[in-house]
Amino acid sequence: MNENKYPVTNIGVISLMMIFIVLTMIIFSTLTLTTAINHSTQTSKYADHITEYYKANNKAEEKISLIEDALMNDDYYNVLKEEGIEIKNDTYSFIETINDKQSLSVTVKITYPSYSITQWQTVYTSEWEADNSVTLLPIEK
Amino acid sequence: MKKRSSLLLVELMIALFVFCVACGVSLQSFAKSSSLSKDADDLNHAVTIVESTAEQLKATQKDSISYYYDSDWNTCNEDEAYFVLVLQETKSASSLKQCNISIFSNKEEKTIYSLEYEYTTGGTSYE
Repeated sequence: MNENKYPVTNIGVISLMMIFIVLTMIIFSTLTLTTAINHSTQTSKYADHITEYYKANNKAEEKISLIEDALMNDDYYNVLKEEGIEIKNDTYSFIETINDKQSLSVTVKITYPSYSITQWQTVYTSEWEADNSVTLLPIEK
Repeated sequence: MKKRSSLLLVELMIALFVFCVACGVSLQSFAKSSSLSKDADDLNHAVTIVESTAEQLKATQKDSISYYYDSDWNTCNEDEAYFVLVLQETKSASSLKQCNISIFSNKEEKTIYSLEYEYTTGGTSYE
């Protein structure tokens, strides 16, 4: 009868507590790491997009500079056409590629001897697809 | 009773060992998360400030640019600066100016974000 006073499960209380604590710690640390990785990836994507946008912006500014030169010198009109600038009356327009999904559309209206920018817009060149996937942990393919 | 005590001791030792290993892994994970979050936060702020500076340059408001930031990204004096905005003019043609805008971390001695920027200063007006 004395044997029944000490059930076998009594020995495992420490193990049970340890399993619970370790599981909790592992779950929380994994969740924290996942959130941090997602945050980091998102920020890198944002930085890359800004860099891509300003590369297109720089090319557009170079073309604006060419248009400015064209206002001073008639010979520049051929250069403008070579650069892919569309000329329609007093309106010059061109498109600079930002990435495979977006472009920068610029329209300049000439008001001699100056000019004004009437459009400086990011336009979508491909169809938008909703991303409904949720990645809990990044899996390298 | 003696057998029970030795069993308890063995169990305690195994539990302690597993707990130590799990602690090590978790702490490493928390440290890595903290470092990743801090870097991402700094990059986010750096990109926003560089972008804002680029637009200020275009709007010819060079006087309103802040160059020194503390560790919380608030503007501060040069002596207390943790992050520094470096503005370098690389090339200047007739109306087209080229410059490099970057954010440098004084403490870690590394560039967080850098952007090549070109802008016209001629008779541009916007409608």
